[in-house]
Amino acid sequence: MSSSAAPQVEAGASGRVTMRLDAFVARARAAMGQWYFHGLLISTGIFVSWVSTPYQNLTQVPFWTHGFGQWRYVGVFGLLAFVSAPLMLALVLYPRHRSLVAHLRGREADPVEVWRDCVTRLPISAAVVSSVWSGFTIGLGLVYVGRREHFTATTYVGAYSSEALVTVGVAAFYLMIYEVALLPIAREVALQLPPDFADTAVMSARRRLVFLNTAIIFTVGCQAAGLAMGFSQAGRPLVVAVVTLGLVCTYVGAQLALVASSVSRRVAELSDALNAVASGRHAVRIRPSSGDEFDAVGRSFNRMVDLLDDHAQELRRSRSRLIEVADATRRLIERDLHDGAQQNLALVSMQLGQLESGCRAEPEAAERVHAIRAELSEVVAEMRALAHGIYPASLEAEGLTSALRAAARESEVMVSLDVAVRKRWDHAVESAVYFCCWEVLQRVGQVESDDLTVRIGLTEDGGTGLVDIRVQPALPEEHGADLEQYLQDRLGAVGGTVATTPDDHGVAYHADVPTC
Amino acid sequence: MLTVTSEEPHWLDRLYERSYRRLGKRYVEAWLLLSASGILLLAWPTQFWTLHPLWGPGGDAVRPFLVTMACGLLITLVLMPWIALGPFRPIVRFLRGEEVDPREVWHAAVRRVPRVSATCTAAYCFAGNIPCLIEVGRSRDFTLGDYVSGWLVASIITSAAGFFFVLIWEVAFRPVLRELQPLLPPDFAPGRSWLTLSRRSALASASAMAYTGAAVSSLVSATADREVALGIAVLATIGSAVSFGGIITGLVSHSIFMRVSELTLALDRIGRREHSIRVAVRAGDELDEAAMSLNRMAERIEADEDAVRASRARLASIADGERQRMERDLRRRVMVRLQRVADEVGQVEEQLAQRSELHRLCGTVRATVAAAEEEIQRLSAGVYPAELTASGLEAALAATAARTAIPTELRAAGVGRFDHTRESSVYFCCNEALQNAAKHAGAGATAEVRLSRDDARIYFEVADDGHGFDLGGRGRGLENMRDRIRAVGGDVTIVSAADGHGTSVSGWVPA
Repeated sequence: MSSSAAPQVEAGASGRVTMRLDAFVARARAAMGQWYFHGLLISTGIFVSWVSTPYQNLTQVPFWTHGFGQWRYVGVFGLLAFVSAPLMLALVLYPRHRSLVAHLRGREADPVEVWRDCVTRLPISAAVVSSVWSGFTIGLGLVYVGRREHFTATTYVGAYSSEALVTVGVAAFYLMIYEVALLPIAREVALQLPPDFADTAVMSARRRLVFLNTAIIFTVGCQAAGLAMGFSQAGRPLVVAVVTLGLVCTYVGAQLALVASSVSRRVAELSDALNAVASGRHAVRIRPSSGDEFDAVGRSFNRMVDLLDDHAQELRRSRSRLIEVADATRRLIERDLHDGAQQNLALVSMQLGQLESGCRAEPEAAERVHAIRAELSEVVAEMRALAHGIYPASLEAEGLTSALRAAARESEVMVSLDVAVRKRWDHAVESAVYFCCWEVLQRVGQVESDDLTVRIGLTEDGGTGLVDIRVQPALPEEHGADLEQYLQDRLGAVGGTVATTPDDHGVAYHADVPTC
Repeated sequence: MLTVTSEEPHWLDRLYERSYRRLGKRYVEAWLLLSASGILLLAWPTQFWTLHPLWGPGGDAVRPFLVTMACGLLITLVLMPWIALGPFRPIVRFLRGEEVDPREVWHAAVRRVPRVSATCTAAYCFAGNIPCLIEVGRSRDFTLGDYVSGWLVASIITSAAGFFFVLIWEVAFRPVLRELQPLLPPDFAPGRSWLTLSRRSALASASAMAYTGAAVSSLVSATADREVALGIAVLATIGSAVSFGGIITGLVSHSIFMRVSELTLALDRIGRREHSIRVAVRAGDELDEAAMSLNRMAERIEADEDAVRASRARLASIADGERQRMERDLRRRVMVRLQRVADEVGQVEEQLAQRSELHRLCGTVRATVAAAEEEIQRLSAGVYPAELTASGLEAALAATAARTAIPTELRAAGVGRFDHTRESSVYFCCNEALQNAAKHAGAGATAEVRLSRDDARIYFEVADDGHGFDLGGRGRGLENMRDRIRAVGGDVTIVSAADGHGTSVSGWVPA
C-alpha cells in the first residue's frame, strides 16, 4: 500500500528543484527531530524580523521620504517585528497546530487532526497571523513614520494599502514554505488515515496557483514602484529595468518551487501509480497529501484499483467455479458408471459364467457363450478406460501421483514420471494438473510417430507446485498452440501460470500453481 | 476509443467552441485578425502610454506615438501574418477538409504556438520598440544608457504580452484538437515539449510580474507628489494583478487543472469498467506523461480482462466439448457392442429354448444387460438432449417442457439456430430453472418458458407462479447459471418473491 514518491521521469528544472527542497527538508527534520515545528517557528521569527520586514520596508521608504535617506525607519519596523513576531507565533500559530506538535513529540495524536494541521489549516493560520501581525507592526510603524514625515490622512491610507499589498505576497511566501516543510509529515500521517478519508481544502491547487501569482504580483508592483521612486528622474528607465528583472528573478524561483511541489510532484506520483497498474501491480495506492484536485485524482485512482480488483477477482472466481462444476460433473458420471453400469456388467459377466458352465451339455451354445464372454470383457475394459478418461477414481482417493501413474500406464506413448511431492495438493489444483497432463498425453497420442516421449516432473517449493512437461519432439504447430492455450486456461483458473520454452529437441511447459 | 472531456467546460472553452462552430473554415484567419486588432487597438497604444511617463518630461508625445503606431501597423499587417500563417498551414488545411497528416496538425496547434508567438514578439521588440525609442529619445537628449534601458523596459512589457498570446492561442486551438483527437494514431506519442508544466507556470507568473513591475514603476514616474504616487502604485498594482495577471494565471491554471479533472473523470469511468476510455494527449508535458500512462494502463486492463473472459468462455466450451465427447464415446464404443452382446445372448436364448433353466438364465442375463444399457443411456443422454444438437434450442426446450413435472408452456417466436455454445448455455440455464420450478413452486403451479430475439440478442425467460423462495440460501445452482451465461457474454437476472408471486429467471446472450 504505497506509492513511490520519487518521480520516475526526469522532470527537468522542476524535478531538480523538488529534490533539492525535499533533501533540505529531510535534513532539517532529521537534525531537529521532535523539535521540528518549534525550529520552524523560531526560524520564521528570526527571518521575519531580520530579513523580510526590513527588506519589505526598505522598498517603501522612498514613498514616504522621496529617497533612501531615512534608514532608521527600516530599523524601527525591524524592531517592531522583533518584538511582535515571537508573540504572534507563540500565541496564534502554535496553539492552532497542537496535534502536529504532539505527533512530532511522539505523543498520541489523531492522525486526521495531524494531517489537517499540516495541510488544510495552514492557509487560515497564515491569513490570521499575517493580518493580526500586519495590523500591529505596520500600523504602529506607520504612525511613527507619519508623525515625523507629516502624513495626511490620504498618505496614511495609501502607505498602509501599499504595505498591505506587499504583505499579502510575503504571507503567501511563508505559507508556501510551511506547506513544503510540513509535507513529509502529512505524507507520513496519511498512511494511518481512515480509508474513506476525503477532506478537501478550501485552498485547492487551482486557487493556490491563482492566489500565489496574484500575491506575488501585488508585491512586485508595490516594491518596484517604491524603489523607482527612490531614484532621480534621469536614469530611471535603467532603475526600472534592473528592479523589475531583479524582482522577477527572485520570485520566479519561489513560484517554480511551489509548482514543483504542488503540481509536478503530484503528476509524477500519479504517473508512477498508473504505470504500476499498467505493469500489473495492483497494490499501489495514492495517499492524500494536500486536500486538493490531486487528492481527488488519487481518490478516483484508489477507488478504480479497488473496483478493478473486485471485478477481476469475481471474473477469476467465476472461471474457477465453471471448472469446478465441470470437474464435479465428471466425477459424478465416473461414479455413476462405476456404481451402475460397471456393476451391471460385472453381474452380466458372472451370469454368463454360470450360463457357460450350465451349457456343458450343449457344446455349441457353450462356445457361443464363451465368445460372448470374451466380447463382454472387451466392453468392460473399454468401459474402464472410458471411465478413467472421464475422471480417474484414484485422483480423489489416492492423489495426483497414482492417477498420473495410471494415466501413464494406459498411454500409447513413452511416458516417464518424476514425482517429488509429499503432500496432497488442493483438490481443484490436483484436478487441473492431472487433466493438463492427460490432455498432453491425449494430443501426443494422436500424432503418428514412433519415437515420441513425454517427461512429466512434479516438485513443490513452499506453497507452489512446479509442473514440468517435456514433449520430444515438439507437436505440430497448430496442436502445440492449442495445447498451450488449454494449459494456460486450465491452470490459470486455479491461479497458476504457464511458460512455454521450445528447444532443438522438443518443447517444455513449465507451470507454477499455488497448491493450497 | 472514447476520449473524456470535462463534463462542465470552462466558460472560455464554451466561448471558443461556439466561435469555432460559427467560423468553421476561417477559424485561424479570424483569430489572427482578432489578435491583430487587439494588438493594434489595445496592447500597442497602451504600452506606449504606460511607458510615456518613464521617459521623463519634455519632448513631443504625438510624433513618437504616430511613428510607433505606424511601425505597429506595419508589423501587424505584414510581418505577423507572414510569421504565423506558414506554421499554422496544416491547421488551415485541416479546417478546409483537405488531406493532411493529423500529427502535423497536432504539432502545429500545440508545439508551434510558442515558437510563432516568440517570433512575433521579437518582431515587435526590434521593429517596433527600437524606432519608437529612437523617436522618443531624439527630443529628450537620451544617452546610450537611456536608449538601452528604455528599450529593455519596453521589451519586458512586449514579451509579457507575447506570452499572453501563447496561452490564449492554446485555448483557441483546443476545439480543433478535440476534433483532431480521434484521427490521431492510437500509439501517438508527442515527445517531450520544452514547455513543461512548471516552466509554463513560471513563465506565466514571470510575465505577469514583469509587466506589473515595469508598468507600475513607469506610471508612478508621472508624478512627484507623494500621495498621488502612492495612489497610482496601489491602484495600478491591483488593476494589473486583476486584469493582466488574473487572466494569465487563470489561463495557466485552467490549462493545468482542466487536464487534471480529465484524468479524474477517466479514472472514475475506468473504475466503472468503461475500459475504452482514453485521455487526450495535449502538450507533451508531465500531464501528458500521466495521460499516456493512464491510456497504457487502460489498455492493459482491457487486454487482461478480455483474456480472462476469453479463457472463461473457452473453459466453458471445453467442458461442454468433453462432455459431448464422452457421450459419443459411450454410445459408439460401449452401447453398440453391448447391443451386440444382448443380441447374441438372445440368439443363445432361442437355441436353448428346450432347457428351461438355462433359458431363464439367458433371460436374466438379457435383463441385466438391458439394465446396464439403460444406465449408460441415461448417462450419455446427459444434460443435453439429442434435439439440441440436431434441431436447436426451441425443439430441445419443447422436449424438456413436455417432461417437466409441472405444466409448462413454451412460447418461442422463431428464435432459429445460433452458435452452439450459446445454445447449450441457454438450454442449461432454462433446464436448471425448470427443475428448480418443479422442485420449489409447489402443487398447482405452472411454468412458462419464453424465447425471443432481436438483431443483437437472444432473450429467454423461465417464469412460474409458485411459492417463490428466498434467494439468499441457495447460491450454488443460481451461481452456476450465471457463470454459464456470463461465460458466453450474456447476463441473467433471477427474481423470486417469497410471498407467492413466483420466480422468474430471465436473461440474454449475444445473437
